[in-house]
Amino acid sequence: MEERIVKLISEELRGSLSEEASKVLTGWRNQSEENERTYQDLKKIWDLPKRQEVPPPNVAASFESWKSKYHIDAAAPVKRLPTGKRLNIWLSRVAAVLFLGFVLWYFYPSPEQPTFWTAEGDNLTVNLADGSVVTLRENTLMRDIAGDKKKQERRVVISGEAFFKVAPDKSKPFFIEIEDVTVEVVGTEFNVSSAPSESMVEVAVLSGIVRIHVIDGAHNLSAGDRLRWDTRQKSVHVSEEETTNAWSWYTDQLQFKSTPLLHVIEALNRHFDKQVSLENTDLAHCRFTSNFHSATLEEVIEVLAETFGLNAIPNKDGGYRLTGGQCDG
Amino acid sequence: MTEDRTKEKDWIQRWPGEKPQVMEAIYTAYFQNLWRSAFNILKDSGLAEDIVQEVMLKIWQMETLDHISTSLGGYLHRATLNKTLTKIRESKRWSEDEPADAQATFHSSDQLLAGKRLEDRFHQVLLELPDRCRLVFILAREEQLTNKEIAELMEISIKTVENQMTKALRILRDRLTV
Repeated sequence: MEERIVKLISEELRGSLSEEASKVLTGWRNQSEENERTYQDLKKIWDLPKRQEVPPPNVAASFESWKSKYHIDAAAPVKRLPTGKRLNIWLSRVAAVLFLGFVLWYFYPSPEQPTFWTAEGDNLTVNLADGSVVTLRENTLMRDIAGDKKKQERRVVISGEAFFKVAPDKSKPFFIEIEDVTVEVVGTEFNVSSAPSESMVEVAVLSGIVRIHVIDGAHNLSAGDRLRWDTRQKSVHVSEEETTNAWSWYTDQLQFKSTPLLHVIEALNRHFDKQVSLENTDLAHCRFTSNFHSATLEEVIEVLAETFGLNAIPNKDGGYRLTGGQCDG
Repeated sequence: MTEDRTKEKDWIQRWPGEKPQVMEAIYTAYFQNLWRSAFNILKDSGLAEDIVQEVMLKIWQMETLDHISTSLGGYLHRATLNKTLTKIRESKRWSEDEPADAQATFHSSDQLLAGKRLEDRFHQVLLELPDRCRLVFILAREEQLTNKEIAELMEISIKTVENQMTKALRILRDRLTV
């Protein structure tokens, strides 16, 4: 039977068939008894009752276990702190750390494959058994899989973003699997990240040499190189343009040295995870030089606005829209 | 406005002042449906409960619910499905492999099974479908998602969703007939 007809039936069953297409389907059903029977069979299958083979857990018991699991004291009234944001932020970080401690224990599937997971707003530094140190950015998951014991290799699987300092050991190569990319390391410092929403994997190297395996082959990267892999298009892009800010989340430093404003904006979006947009595209190539350490987005925006005479309009989500301005301020 | 929507509006308004009470109400109201959604996909009761509990924790950590512009129920449903699919991806249980007999054909002489046999066999065949195919079918039938929503959740193209849907139907009919 034609693919087209099955597609029409599938849409009809889900109630999303257009009137025009519905006529085509009706025509096909009227052509023969066999067609009509096929349609009726599929409808019957589709309409089968959903199976309730396993009863859901008891709600009240689940709520109680949820409270104790995450140390939530839901009986106590939540007081709002009058001192405002600063203290609130601090408190929420403490809460996140506690939560993380729990999660670490909770996600251990087996002692051989420890799994690390960071909550929103949290970084975590993990010391691996071989002496390597990995710092996970927020919302990142890493599983330490032993790899092939015979081959004596080191191997982790990661989803999210992390900075690696790999302990040198030529006899035991270190592998990182991220999406469909495998990073092979001998001993080096670098950053890997995957953003499923942007279907991109990025590896940026601070020192040493890294070998990246993607489906079309392998690429060697050395200090200062950055590789971007488009997981959908299956295409690779290697550049030597500045990588300093690729791991700014790790160093908490943003460094711009005669950097085009467009790249500055890109680094800010990434570092603060907020949307900053530049409306005046004439400014895209204006150069900007400055270093920031532990700066807030507000502080950086203030400097940019001052330098280029920009208007900074805050967004609802904490980002900014930058309008107007000119290169030489 | 439906009764649910009125209730949700009330919760969102009371959230900052009466968080613990509202949290319990939200948990009680949505837990079973959300658990069902996760369970249908994972077939693991404990894991499904964990996922819903993580979603609930996210809600608890919010200072305000004002930004949830759609319905709260819809938001929780999407968050649950998102987490469920993330879990599957992370555990690499996402086989893309196509079994050799996946391309089923229809035979006109075949008769559809009937009654209890049809139902039992249906759930069995469902489990035999390739992962991607099964997920697309479940998300469409049980969760009533559109092709676009499924494509976004699973990070595949709409075309792939369509193809997997028709494949599921072909295989089901083929294996439910004698």
